[in-house]
Amino acid sequence: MGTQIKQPLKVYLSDISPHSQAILEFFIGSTGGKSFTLVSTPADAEMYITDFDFPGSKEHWETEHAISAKPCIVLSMEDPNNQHVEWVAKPITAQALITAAKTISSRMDENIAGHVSVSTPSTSAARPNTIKVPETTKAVPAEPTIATTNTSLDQPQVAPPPLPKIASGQSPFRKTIHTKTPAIHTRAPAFHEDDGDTSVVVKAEATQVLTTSEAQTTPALDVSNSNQEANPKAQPKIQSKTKPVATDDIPSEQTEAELEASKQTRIAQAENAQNRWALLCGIEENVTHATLKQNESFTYNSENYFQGTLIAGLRLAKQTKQVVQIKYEPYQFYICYDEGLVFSPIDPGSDDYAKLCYTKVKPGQVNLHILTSPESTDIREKISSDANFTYDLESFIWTSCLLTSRGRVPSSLDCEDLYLLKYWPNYTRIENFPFAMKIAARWQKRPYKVADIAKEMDIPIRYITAFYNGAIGLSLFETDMSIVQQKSNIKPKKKNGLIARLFGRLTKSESPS
Amino acid sequence: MSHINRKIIFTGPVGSGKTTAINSISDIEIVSTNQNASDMTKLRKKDTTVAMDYGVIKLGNDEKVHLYGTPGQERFDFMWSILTKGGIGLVLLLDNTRKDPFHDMKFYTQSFKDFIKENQMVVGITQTDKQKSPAISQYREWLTELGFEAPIFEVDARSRDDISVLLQGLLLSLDPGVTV
Repeated sequence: MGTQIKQPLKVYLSDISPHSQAILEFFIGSTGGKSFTLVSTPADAEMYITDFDFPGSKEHWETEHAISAKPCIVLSMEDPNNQHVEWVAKPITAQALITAAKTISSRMDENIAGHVSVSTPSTSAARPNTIKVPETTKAVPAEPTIATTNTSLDQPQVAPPPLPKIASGQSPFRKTIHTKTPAIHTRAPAFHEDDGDTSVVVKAEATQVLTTSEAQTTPALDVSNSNQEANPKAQPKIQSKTKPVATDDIPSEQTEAELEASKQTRIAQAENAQNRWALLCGIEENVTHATLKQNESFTYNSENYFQGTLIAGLRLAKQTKQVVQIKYEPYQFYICYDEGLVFSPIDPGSDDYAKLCYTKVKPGQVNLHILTSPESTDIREKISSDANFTYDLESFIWTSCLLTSRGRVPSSLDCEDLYLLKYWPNYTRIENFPFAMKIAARWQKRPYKVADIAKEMDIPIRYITAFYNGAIGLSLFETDMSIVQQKSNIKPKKKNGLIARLFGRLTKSESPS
Repeated sequence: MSHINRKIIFTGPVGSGKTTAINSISDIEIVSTNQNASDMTKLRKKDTTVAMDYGVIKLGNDEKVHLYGTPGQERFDFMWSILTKGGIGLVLLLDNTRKDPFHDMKFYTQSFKDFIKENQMVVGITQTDKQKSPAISQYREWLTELGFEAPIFEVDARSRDDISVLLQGLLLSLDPGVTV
């Protein structure tokens, strides 16, 4: 039906399961807002939506229909075969609901044209209610209407008022709008001033969400499990309570000694981090573009280190899909590419492993061996049962490359070449160091020379070379030079201060990025 | 001083950890609309989100960033275009134990394609402790195949640190030169 609805139909949801009600309320508060507006009492309604699969709903509707004969949309699995209702089959869709609304609206308009004599007081009706309503309903005091913007599932709602008495003094329809008042607990004294308005924020944003969209989509709203959902235990769980913000909270019972111990721990942690970053990125401060490859101490050849064999083993494992063993007496490492794991007898976070990586290997000291299928099966079983020596493959490669380079550049690097990062490293699982994420972000937006990116970021070049070594080891750079060229003129957009403020909030008391 | 309320959207299939992730990073207990799962959903989790999840990150001076989680079930996709209005970025969470994570990635990136083009996305792979394969390198290739660029990290949705890094990736993608 192509008729447009001039004004949203005032609808009362009756005998609807909590689940279905939540969906309908959201629909009416958003996409369906042009077709329907929710009211809190049957008396205020021009029409009803009811669910015939809900126990007792059909009987209630029949009672109501006998009194008021208001139009009704019936949701059900099977056709109710009732000419007085508009049937919307389950699973319902937004489009089906809108179509049914148009049908009802059209009928009501026709009734107005040919049935003007009926006058029923309506609380705010621009559209006269054309259905005969018993006199008793006229005396019902106006009650707060649940506006569409107040139907959000994530905001507190006032408890519905007592039901109006219609005719016999009994509401023919059970009230099924559930109170969704979240329990908002008193905030802890340690909270900031702006923490005190959670409920307001929830309400404001929810309102915005539910009123902004006019998008027409055709969702399938499955409300087919009404009987099961009639169980009160199946009602949506709505919670809203404040959560203590951990940062800045200092328990009052903490003694001075404890505070001092805590301070010492933080200092020790910071020192450890500095030492680790020195192993990963080196300590050179004064390297420039001009001096980058002039001093031999700034360059290295990965083939002369364990890293060279490790990367070769990685490629072999990827190609053969077999477990690859690296023998580096007295150690044996296993690369399981498909599982994304490495079996290492040494902790890659240890000083021993740092030393192993930074020490040049002697010819014949390191060997690669592709395991046979039975051997692979055995080692996979061993690995799966011994998590203590198993490490994430990418993380292991990243750390190994950084420990080998210590901020030096590979001799294969052409400092005049442009590099573009294709993929970000897996920052939640690899070892981090200062500026690492910012380097990735910048390097993915457009290509840079190694020295140029350091200059633009105004940071020591060792962090860039460290990143470069890790990213090369994991094959994270773009190899298609046409894409590199294509992106060379891109200028990153500067965003508003909100990004910076949120970034600052996230990185507060966290490791530098 | 006017305060524009901006939001970050968390999306992904049922059980990918959207509710948990928001809870991990939110400064308030999240407002959740979980419902006992019915149909196929209950095979993956007991409760599921039927409308949306809501959390907040407070920035001070009454400024806040709102976190919205979409319902995972595809039949609620009519809500997605509504939820994304005013969003600054999308967090797509993918469950590594699902039957076809590539299909999930394809479905959600296509569903939010216009939003992603206008803004930015970051992808978090969850449940990798339960199942390592497909590896993150596979996800990178899939995303490239689908024509998108975004940071992809393995995350434990219960870990504030992981979700914080995920959001930092999102923000740095929006503005690589961001300074605090």
